[in-house]
Amino acid sequence: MRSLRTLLASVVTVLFLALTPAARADGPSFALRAGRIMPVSPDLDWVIEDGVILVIDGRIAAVGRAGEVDIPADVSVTHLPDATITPGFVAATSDLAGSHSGEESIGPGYRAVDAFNVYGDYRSLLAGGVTTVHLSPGWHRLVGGQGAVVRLAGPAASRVLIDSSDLTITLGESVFNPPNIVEFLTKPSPDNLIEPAVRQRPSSRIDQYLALREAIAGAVSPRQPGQEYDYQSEILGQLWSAKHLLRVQAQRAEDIVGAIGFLASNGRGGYLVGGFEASNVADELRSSGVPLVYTIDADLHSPGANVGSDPDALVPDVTDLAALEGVRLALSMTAAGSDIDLRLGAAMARRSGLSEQTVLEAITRVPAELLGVGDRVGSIAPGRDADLLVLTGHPLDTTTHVQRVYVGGRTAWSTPARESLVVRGGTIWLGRDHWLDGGSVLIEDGRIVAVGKRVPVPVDAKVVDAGPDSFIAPGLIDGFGHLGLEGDSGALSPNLSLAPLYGVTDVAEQRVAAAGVTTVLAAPYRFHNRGSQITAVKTAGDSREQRIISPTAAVAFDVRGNDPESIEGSLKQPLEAGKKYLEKWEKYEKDLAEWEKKKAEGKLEPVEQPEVIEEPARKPEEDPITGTWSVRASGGPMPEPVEGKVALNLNGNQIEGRMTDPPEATEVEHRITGTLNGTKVSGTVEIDAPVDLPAPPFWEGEIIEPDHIKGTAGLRGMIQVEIEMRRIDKQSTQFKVTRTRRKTTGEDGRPLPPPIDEALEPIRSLLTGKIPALVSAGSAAEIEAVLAVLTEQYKIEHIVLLGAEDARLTIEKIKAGKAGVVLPTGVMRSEKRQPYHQGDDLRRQGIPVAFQSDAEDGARTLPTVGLYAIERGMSGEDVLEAMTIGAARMYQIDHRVGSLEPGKDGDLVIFSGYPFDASTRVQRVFINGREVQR
Amino acid sequence: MKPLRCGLIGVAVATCFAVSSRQPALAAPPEKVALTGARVIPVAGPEIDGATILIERGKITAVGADVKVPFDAMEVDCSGKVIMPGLIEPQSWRGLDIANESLPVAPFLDVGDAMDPSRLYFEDALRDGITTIHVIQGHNTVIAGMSRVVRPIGLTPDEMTLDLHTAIKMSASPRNGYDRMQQMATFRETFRELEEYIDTIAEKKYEDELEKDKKKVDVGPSEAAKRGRDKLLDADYDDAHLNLMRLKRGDFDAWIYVGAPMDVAPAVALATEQGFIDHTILLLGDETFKAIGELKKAGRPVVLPEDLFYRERDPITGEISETFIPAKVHEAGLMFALQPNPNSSMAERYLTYQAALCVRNGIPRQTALEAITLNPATMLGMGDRLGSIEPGKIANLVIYSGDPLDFGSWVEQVYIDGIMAYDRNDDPRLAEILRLEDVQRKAEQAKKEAEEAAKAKEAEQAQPKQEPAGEPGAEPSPAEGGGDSPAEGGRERRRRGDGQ
Repeated sequence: MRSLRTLLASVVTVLFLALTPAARADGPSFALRAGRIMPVSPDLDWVIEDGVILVIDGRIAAVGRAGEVDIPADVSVTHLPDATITPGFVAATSDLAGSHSGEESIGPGYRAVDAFNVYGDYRSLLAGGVTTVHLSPGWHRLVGGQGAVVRLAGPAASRVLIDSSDLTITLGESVFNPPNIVEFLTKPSPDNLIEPAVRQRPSSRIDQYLALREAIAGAVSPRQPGQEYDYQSEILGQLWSAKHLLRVQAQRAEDIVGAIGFLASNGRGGYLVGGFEASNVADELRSSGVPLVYTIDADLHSPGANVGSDPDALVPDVTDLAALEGVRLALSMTAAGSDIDLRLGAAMARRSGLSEQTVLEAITRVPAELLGVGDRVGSIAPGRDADLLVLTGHPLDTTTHVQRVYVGGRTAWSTPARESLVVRGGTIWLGRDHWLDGGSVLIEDGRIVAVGKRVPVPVDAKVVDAGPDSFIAPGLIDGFGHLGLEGDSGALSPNLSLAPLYGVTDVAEQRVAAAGVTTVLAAPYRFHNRGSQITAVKTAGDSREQRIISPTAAVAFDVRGNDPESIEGSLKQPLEAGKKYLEKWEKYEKDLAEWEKKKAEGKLEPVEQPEVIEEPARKPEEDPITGTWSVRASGGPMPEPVEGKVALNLNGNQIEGRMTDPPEATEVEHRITGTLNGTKVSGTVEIDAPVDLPAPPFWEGEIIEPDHIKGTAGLRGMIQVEIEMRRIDKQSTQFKVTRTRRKTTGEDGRPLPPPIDEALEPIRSLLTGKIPALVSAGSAAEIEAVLAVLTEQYKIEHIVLLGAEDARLTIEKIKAGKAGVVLPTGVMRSEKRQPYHQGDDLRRQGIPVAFQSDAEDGARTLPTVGLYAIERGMSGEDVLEAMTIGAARMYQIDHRVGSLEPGKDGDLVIFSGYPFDASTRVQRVFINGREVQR
Repeated sequence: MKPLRCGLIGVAVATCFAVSSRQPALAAPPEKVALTGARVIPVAGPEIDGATILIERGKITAVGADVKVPFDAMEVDCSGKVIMPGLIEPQSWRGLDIANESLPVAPFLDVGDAMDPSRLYFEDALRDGITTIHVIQGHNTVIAGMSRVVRPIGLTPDEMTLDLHTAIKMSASPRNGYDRMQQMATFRETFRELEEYIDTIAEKKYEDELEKDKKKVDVGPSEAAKRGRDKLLDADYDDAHLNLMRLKRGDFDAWIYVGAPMDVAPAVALATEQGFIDHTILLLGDETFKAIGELKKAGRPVVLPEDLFYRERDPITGEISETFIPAKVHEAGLMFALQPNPNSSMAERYLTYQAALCVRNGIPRQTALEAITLNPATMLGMGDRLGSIEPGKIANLVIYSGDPLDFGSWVEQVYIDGIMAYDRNDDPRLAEILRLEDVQRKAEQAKKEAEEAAKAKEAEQAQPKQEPAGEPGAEPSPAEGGGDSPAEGGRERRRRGDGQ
């Protein structure tokens, strides 16, 4: 069966390709591959999982399972694994044309298509998935006119599908007592009297049939001699004789029965529209076989929903719809405004008990066929127009949204691009032994916004449904790795971080990310004896900002192989320096607090200003240097030239000067000095810089012509820029010179911060408890020595032991020091020839653990490390915790990563089952809410 | 077509011409006038510096740098000035007392019955260099009446009229109180009813002849209607149907307003179906350019909306987009005419500014100039008589102080039919508005001179006065316009010209 269908599809495709170019080359060609296609075609499966739709020149050429449809080489394929594709919805009623303003009760000459704006912007309707609508000439006249079927997007000339689709007849109260017609050829005047108005019918329920029959009889019989010409009657005669399709609009049960009788007695085909009370006459409808377009009343915000206590009032009740099962049924909405939300109507119909298939067909294929456009729209089948909806899920699911709408193969509407993602899974791992069965995670702008059984689904969200077997866990954390070092085994200076290594994801990093490892604690291979910085980095991202969680996540020391006696000394050296540095800062902070307190109390004493030396007045005669110079610096690391002004004085051969422009430069305490040697000048700039410079910046140049110096400036061996100076005046300037090179207080006596020492900053963070110390130690003696120094002498609370192979021997000390352990790569130990698992052992003692890869892109094996650990006796939950929130807590980055909680980064991994089961694979990985390409 | 009918049409056309050529009851123009030394923008050809335009009996007879001034011509020195053809306003209902009558279908109306020559609008038009105005009913209609081409001078509508029954006005956009379904149904009904009416009178005509001429055979109503059609004369039609029949026959054009892009296709379909698409001019609304594909396909000349920029805010994204309409129309290769924006107190109310706006936005200068002269003339079927400075054309000329598309230039003088119809130095209303110093100074000078003349007269009372009056020679020549007192208005001038 399947192969026959495939064969058939191929034949049709080939035929279509052969015929198409000449016939119509008016649309684009492409193929869509989607997770699910619902073609709503009787010839195809109800659901095609992983299907392909081939569109050639705006028409569907083939539909089928992926691999069973031949796609020409020059057609591009868009893969939408999470999408469901259905035909565009067909609204069998609308008020886009409005009601015509003619007075005739019998007005078949009015054509709804005249009122359709082919240039209109119908995006609000398209956004709801409606691509084709019927235009009605109105509900206000017995014979309202001719309806039309149009689509809502595409080139203007292609929008009208049928310009006269039906003769619209309306029965019921709304057509009773039409206005009397007054006709005059010219303006009424005394000699041109107004003729009496012509009464119009119907005036009652019985009269409507009579009036209709009489009008038809009059229209089809030939005009008698002398009988006045009547345009509307002529058109009615033409339409009736041509057996034009009849569309009878009726809401009341009696009118529906009357309409069925009218169609039957005249032997005419047609369909009914309306049917508020159709359920009362469901049997008559079923036996007559007349199709019905049931209009669902969804006037949610209108006072029109109030019907009061009138017992005869029309009270639309969708819950009765189930009674209409068996009637050929299309669903539409009472067009309140022009908002036809067919999906809302369909959802209401589903609640009434109609089957999924009946409801979906009732908003696609059935209305298309009733309106006479079934061969063009309403289903996905070869030969139909490519009017398609790309949905985030099942079309009748209320949390599903329309993502993209194709009309005639052209994109007619699509959701604005936003970084909003909903991931649905069978199990969501919220923490150790805390599993959520069947839930979703909402990620917006890279952060988790909501986690739960039902999360909000924004209209424009990308929705990933991982299926009922899936297991969604936070991204895994490698507790110690060397990502991106590319074998560089040098010890990193204490003032440097690895952060600059990371930018746009490279291939090796992407492999790690695709394996489910989303965060790596990146460390140099060897640690500096004054401590090295450890960087917490994401394994994928588009920029450094996206990737770096913390440039300094820990300070690492290595005490392995040292004489335990010397450990104290080697650790104390940097810590003591750091402590002094910290004390400076603490003093500054204390002074600042005091100063601010005093200032608040208004007790500030006048501060002794730094001594100022006035330079003696300059000699008046001109020299080659004295005056104001314009400076232009360019080249080197500067993206664009910078201009400024500098005032220089020459005294003997000594130059003294200050920047005077730009204004920012004058705010920095600085002094330019130099020497004039013939035509050459050279010197330095002393700056009170916020950072300690290795040497003061230099400047040098040559007077190439009077008042013009060319040269260079910068930091020796680091930065060099071209400078060009031109003298703009020759006035000498007097400079204030401060004696103190570094001030400890500001102008108003405010204490100034001590200079920052990049090498000691990590230690300061460590001593203040902001980051942990990572210490590589193996033997019990080493561990004890480390803990003795760190916890007892420096009161450091957060300690991570790397390796700690002999932890079992000194477990109480580790517990007392509240240290965590990054397990060694070989986790099996033995004591007295009894093997034991170190991780399991430590977990049983309540000591936090994490896993490490100790590798660069080898970190991708971390899930296997977990598998191995479980195989050797550790519990799966312990391993998962250690690789996620456990590691995050250990490094104090648990405010960003480690668990699926609102506020944290959108890093998650979709596993096909429990992460460490043998058959489980990593299916998809998201970092900062963006999928890692595999 | 039967020869008889051709003949009839010929007679009708000849009669029309006879009527229209009889229309101007204005003053006889001077025999020969030569405007010399100006830069001439003929629109029909390259611009000529230091050219002479020779006007004989209201018609241009020669243009060029080497045209000799005949000895008997009145020579007007226009050195330093720029002369271009009189501007043409392609549609206006401001000369009417109301833009539209209340009847939706009224093809029997004639704008001449509602024109008010005393409207200041005509005076303003003249001041702005407009020498020809197509007076036509407004857009609030289905089928309106017949239009006229007029000059902004004359005391009665007939005096002003240059062309009668120029076009019939229609609107594809719904009139007040109508919607599009009713508008289009009315069109269909009107033209269907016209056929019914013609059949009825044709049948009657055949039967009447049957009674007169015994040889004819009774052929039944439908065949009788067919045969009778050829025998119908214009006089057989009633007022309500005559003009519609003449429109279908091609006697005149339909000017159809298409106010929205969606109106273009139905309007073109209607005109095609009824056979007058080749006689159709489309009048665009602000947004209609969006249907440029359909306009291009129809290939008919268009009159652009008053506001040449279309601004729109996307309802979803909020982005504002701006379109320069003439660029779209020019790109599509359509002939277009510009119209002034009377609702603007800004420069858009000048036709020359509208043309300058086009040049500024990338339209070639020649195209922009044609859009205010030759194009509207062609659309009005008067391209052989108006719209350019060529031998044989009516001498409708505007003398500018500088380039007409330079906003610093102004209209110095306007010639209509070879008669100087406007002179800036003789424009009391303008003088009042602008308080033109030179006009005032000249007025004072004139007063002083008059006083001196009076004194001189007193002194020479003994000598008899010799003042020529009422002779053709007293026709004020363009050069001496400045000497008049400010109290003597332009209208006064025209009236004087009319009287001769």
